[in-house]
Amino acid sequence: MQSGSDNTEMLVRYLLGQLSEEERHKLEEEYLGNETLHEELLAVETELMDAHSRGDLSLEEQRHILGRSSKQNVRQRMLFSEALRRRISHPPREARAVASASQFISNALNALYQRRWFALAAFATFALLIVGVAQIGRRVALDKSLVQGTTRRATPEVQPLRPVPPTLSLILLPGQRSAGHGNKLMLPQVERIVRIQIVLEEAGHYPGYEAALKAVDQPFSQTFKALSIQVGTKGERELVVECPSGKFRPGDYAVSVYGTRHGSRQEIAGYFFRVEIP
Amino acid sequence: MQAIETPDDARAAFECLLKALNNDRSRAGEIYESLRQRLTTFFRMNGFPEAYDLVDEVLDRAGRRLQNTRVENVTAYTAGIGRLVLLEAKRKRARETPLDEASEPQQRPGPDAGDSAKLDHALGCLDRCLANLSESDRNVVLRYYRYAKGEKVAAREDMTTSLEMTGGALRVKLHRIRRRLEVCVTDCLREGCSG
Repeated sequence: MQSGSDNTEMLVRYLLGQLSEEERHKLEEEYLGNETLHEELLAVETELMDAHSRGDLSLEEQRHILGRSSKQNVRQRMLFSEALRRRISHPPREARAVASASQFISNALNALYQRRWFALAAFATFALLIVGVAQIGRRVALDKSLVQGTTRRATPEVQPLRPVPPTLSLILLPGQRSAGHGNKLMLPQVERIVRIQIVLEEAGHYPGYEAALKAVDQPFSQTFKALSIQVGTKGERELVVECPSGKFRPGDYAVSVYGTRHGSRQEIAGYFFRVEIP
Repeated sequence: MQAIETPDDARAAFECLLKALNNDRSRAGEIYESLRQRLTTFFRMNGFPEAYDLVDEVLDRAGRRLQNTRVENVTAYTAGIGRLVLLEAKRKRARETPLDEASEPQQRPGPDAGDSAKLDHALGCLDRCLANLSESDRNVVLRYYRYAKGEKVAAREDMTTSLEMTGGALRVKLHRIRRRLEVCVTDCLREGCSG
């Protein structure tokens, strides 16, 4: 018996009752004497259980897989499999927020490593965000205390705070690959961080991704390396890059997305957008 | 006529098997436990889902025979006894099970699809158990199961590359983590809390 994934086909056939008597005996002798192969067998069985949970097995295959465990064991495993599947397809909101925050910090650290000015801008934005959140928190507390009627006489002097978004968002959707109305970035008068969400139609599977932002008729280009796919609230797959608004001038910009593997890169998507001054 | 086995005989057989498996008693205990699990799987795969008594029978017979026999490969020897005990169990079942019942397919129920409360509870437990995993283990689990059919193969190939392990080794690593998670979730469900 070979080691590694070469065993998979044989193990699947064993579990689905498709081996000859001779092959079956041989495999049983091997896993009885080989702890690792035994674990691989159990792992493949688990994957087949998952396939059953997704409704991917035929009735005959189900009979083989489910008939080997007690009813209670099957119920437990199916429940676990279903829970795991749901959790992965719908992560809890807090986990998504933590993931976004970690991604933001990771991007900022990455930028710190690559470009000092960008890191300073990111840090400033982050600080602004914290101040903004603190102010919103104060406002919420104030509203709450107003509702409860416990506000002291002095507090009404506090002016309502209008939360200022520290970032501008630009969402580049697949299919909107010309600089039409949908892909327009209006430059703010005060510098902000521009957060560009690049929604991918076909991301493929690469260990890493890059995005190159280039002005069409100006000497400006910026490459964002070591990006990873993020899953949006509706399950869309996207890359997120950020750039200070001060780097942009009115005009057309192109974004090229690449998948990277073993030092080589392949272009997988392209977008355009236009920058204007209001 | 078969001699009646006393507790002392069983104890002596167990000690003999341990000694044959390894001179270090602690290591012998680990091998014994692993062998027991593999035999349990072997019986399960051959239509005996809860064959703990059959596994005990195999290990007991192996220990008793090893008291009088010198064997080079104890695991293979025990596996041979396992196959013999399986044959006996199949014959016994064929004698005891009525024909119409034996031909009935063993259809097992799936999850209680309607029981969303149970699933919610399991999700709560799973979150708690995932939080208890190390960050690297948690990432491996989430990454491994994230992708569906078409993308799965490429994604797992990427994982084997980045983790520098074979597909089989990755699967085994994942299985170990998942087993821990399953045990944790089962315990949590039994306790009746989801954190």
